[in-house]
Amino acid sequence: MSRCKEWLKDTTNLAYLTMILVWLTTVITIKGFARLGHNVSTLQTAALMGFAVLGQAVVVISGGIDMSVSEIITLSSVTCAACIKAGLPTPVAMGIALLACMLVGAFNATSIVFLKVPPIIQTVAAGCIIEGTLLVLTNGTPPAGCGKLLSWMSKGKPLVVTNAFWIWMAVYAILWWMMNRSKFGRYVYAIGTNVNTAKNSGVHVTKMNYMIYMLSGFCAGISGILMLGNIGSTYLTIGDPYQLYSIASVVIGGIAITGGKGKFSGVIAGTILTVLIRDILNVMSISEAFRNIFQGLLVLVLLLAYGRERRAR
Amino acid sequence: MKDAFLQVKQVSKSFFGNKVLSNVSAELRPGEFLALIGENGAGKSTLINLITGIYSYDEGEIWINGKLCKTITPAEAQRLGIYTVRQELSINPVLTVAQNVFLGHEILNHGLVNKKEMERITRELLDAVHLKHIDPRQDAGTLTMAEKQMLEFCKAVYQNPKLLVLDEATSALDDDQVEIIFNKLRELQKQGLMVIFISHRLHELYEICNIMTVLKDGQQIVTEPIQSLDEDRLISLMTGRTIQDLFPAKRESKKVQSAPEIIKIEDGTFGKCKHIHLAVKKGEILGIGGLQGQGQQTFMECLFGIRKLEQGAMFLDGERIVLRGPSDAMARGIAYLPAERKTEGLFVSHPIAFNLTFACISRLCDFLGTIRRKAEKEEIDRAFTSFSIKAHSPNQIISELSGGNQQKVVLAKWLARNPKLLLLNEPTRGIDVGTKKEIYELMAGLAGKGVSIVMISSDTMELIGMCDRVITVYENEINYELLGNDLTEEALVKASVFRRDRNE
Repeated sequence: MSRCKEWLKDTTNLAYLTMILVWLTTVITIKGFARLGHNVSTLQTAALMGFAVLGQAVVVISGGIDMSVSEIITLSSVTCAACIKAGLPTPVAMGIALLACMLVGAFNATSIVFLKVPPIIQTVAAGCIIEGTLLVLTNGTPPAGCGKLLSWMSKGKPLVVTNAFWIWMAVYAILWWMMNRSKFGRYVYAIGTNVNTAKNSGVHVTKMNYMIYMLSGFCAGISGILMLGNIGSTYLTIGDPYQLYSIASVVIGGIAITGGKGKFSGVIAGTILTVLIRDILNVMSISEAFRNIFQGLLVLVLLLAYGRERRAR
Repeated sequence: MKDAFLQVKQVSKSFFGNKVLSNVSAELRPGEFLALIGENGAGKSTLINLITGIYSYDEGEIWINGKLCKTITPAEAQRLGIYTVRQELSINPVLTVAQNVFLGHEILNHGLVNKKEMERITRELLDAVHLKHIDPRQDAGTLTMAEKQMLEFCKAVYQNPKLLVLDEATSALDDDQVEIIFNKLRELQKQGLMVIFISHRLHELYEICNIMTVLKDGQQIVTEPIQSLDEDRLISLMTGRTIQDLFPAKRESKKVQSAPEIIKIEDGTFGKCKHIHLAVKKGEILGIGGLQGQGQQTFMECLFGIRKLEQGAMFLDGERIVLRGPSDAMARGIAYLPAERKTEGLFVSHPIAFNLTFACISRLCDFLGTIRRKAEKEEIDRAFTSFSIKAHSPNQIISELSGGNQQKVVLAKWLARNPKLLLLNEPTRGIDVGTKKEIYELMAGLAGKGVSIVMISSDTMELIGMCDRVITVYENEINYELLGNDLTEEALVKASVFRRDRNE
């Protein structure tokens, strides 16, 4: 009994348990949710935004936050589309898009480290800058360009579920290894827990911040590219919904928003659960506005719940 | 005989089935000062927390002012006149000194805060403890650790306490400041003030207390007038050891001083310190003493690369170097144990293992950067046995350990790197005698193996007992250097307090 209690106290376990329960409930109660096709599409949605969540999770564990995720997603899909339209081969186009996203990450890190701008302010500002720049450069209508290769990479289904999902799993596996089995992960948790001690113990905090925010940019970039592949074209608000979703997924996955605490593995459950909740609200034909309200309230409730647990110690 | 203000009768307390205090009794009458002694984890803080209402007790009775208090809340305890000054400071750094003193007890004038009156009273309080240079209007964050602790004391005294609980409240003070506080306490004693005093510095307890209670593993070993317990007997009651063997035997001074220099600063300028000459020999234990906040810490920050050497030169093993930061210093074999264990030395919310291997993690990685788990486990096991860390398992969260064990973990974390220069800032602050002795032995062992140690300490006895050479710092300058037979308590106190005459 006490072991069961102990198991439930772990926010990650709680996230996975809730995910399974919610999924079972939808399968039983909502018509059509048991179909394989529906579940594949749920996982596809989860995977597409899931990359951004992976990066966001690393940032949050390091004690920061990346509010430029949504604009980075847009930036990457627009850049990639433009490059493909210009006749560049798909891999090159993807490379350029990802590079652009990492540059945004480097810009974020520079301000945060050297100008001491709080992460939340810096990343919101960076987001605004990207948004404005894209609007000016594209005149509001981004170029349409998407090759067969990109479409296949995103929604091809050689192995039951889409390729995007498998790529998501692969990136997750690499990041999981980095966060749990490598020096990098130790340092990220250390910075999120206590920057002073980390510095005094030889962590190169500047270098780490660059790596962390560039990683977040890179991950959000993959989201953007595969979203382009998924629908075959892009638009300037393609990334917008995912800002809140990415943070919600991290929090729902059991990672402390205050940094330094929570297992990285929670992100998968967090992401899928977020998508499931969105789907349920969708089916109940609740409007976009109310979906947002609900999502916002959910994040708030979760933050309060986790905050309480922290205080109880 | 006056009636007892506080009567603790056969009180017990358990946490999660562990009895941390069993059948402890105490009595305090007006004017009595009680010393509470025991190693870390002996139950001193628990007893105090029961009296001040932070915890509730399981068995027994606590009577305050002739009334049985079954449950006490901290607010009630304060209303009854019981105030506490703790080692962990509660000073708010962004409020002014005066605002801190009156926090929650602001003087009101028609519903508005009477700033002038509060500042006037604060001025008086500060003057009474010889802190004339502090302005009541300045931010409390600008004060040194010692000044903050003095301010805490002022804050408590202003409330006219009947019973003042001092829980390691002098840990950051030097001998002079302690004396100022003690004089104030003696003054108040005549008006009937009672004190419960916890301190790891035994001589302070002897100076001011009249009764002493020794706790060990939650049991009350003895309660006697302080005169009847001499220091030797006291230590053996606490630990089963005597004071003679607290410090390991010293080495011959000439031999140590003839060793080659390992690190040297020539005409260095860093922070407020200017034209500093400093050299540390191989295998030497160099102490940095002096009054609190004279710039001692700046020396260490410079040696560890936290603070840049603005002018002058630094040499390591005879080779000129420039330290670009802590990681650079670490790569060159320097390790630094900060004074603030919880905020600068540890990741308190993480397991022991995470902390233990943090500084040497690169060595435990393979070529891909993966941490080799077997190597890490070996490293942890080795640290556990060689430092005799008392914990259930390496996965225990470090904040659950006692201060002494936490300090051992920080030391182990650094020694895993096999440093050739070890910088220790207040290595034994707030640590029980038993662990102190272990740390001293460890230091002596390292020095014997050729590791150089630089140690800042506000404990005079520790500097004399451990160091081959001591320099004192006064207003960011090296004041005196003492070694060999010149290193006595009297000389050291003098060297700390008086500025050297430059024309001498």
